Amino acid sequence: MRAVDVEDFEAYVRGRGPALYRLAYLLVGDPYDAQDLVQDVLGSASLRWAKVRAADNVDAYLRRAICNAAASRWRQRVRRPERLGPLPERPAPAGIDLELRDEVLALLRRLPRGQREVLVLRYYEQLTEAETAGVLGIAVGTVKSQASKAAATMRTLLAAPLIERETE
Amino acid sequence: MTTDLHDLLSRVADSAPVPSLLDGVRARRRHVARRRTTAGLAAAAVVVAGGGAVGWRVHQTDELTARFGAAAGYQHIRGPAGWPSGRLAPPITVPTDGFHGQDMHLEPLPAGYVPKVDAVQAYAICTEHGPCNRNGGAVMTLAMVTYDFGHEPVLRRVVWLGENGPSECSAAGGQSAPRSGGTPTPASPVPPTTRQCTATIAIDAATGAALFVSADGP
Repeated sequence: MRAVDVEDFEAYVRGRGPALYRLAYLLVGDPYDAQDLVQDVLGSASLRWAKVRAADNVDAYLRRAICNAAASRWRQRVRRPERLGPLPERPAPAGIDLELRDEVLALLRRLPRGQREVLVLRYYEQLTEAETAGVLGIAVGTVKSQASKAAATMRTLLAAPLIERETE
Repeated sequence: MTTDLHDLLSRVADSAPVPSLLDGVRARRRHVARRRTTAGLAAAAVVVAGGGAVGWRVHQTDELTARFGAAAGYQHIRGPAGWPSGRLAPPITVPTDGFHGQDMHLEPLPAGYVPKVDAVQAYAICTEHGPCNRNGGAVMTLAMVTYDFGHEPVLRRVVWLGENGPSECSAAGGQSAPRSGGTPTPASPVPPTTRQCTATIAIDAATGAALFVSADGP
């Protein structure tokens, strides 16, 4: 990797890394898994950064890589027994509704993977249907149907008082 | 609903403190470069301690296994006659008496090794009863530790794995094989819950040594 590529890559990570991390966090629901996942994806991308940079949309390329990596981890997780007894984590930053966070993450986990990906890309990343389809490599119609199902599921699962509380 | 969902998801996403990604990415690039030139690079040693009177034999595994063999890796572990497989380094037997809270310095890192490996996994086998005899003694109680080396000791969580995990191990009514092979012996009547414990590990990023190791169980 040339020095100029290293500088460009690291500048990209500094600028866009946090957003990619948050995307991964919503997809996998665990901060450490998200960190590992994003670092894996970025580490791989760095090895062929010139080629990645040449892509039409680097963000879209990396979003897709993150979705693929998350799907791979999801499949692995299905085969694994669940973890027991989490260790105490670092104190959460002040002002964050941990109950809400845990509830939403739990709801996301309950969604089928495809719906979760579409939901996060459409409603969190606010990609268009076409962009979402491009990232996930699926048809626009599939995005529409998955988004509709996911939103409906979230609407059903989220308690009304919670929505009202959060949208006031 | 769209706006509500966006706001909701944004709040959740923003609640996760963003880690320093660049260090981990650099470490991965270095590691890949090393792996291209140094086959079989050993990983930093880690220790997992079991709670109570349960000892744990700890296996080291390298980052490659950790990265690509998380699911397959533990399935490759065999009973006493078969293990360690080629994936695993020789086991370390961790004493349990007086172990808790002691500082432990583990095996030195290989020369030239920069201890910023992103993730290492350790597999621990319960030695109280030996490997569970279910599935032909092939699957045992396992613990997987994943953590990052950063600029400071980083505490990561411990994950218990294994089809014969703590709640299903020999103490739950199956039989266990003796540690050195031979005829399986009846499991001791230890309630399954006593087999569950949590290990806490902090790693010195500069040396790779475990600064503090403790274990507690129910």
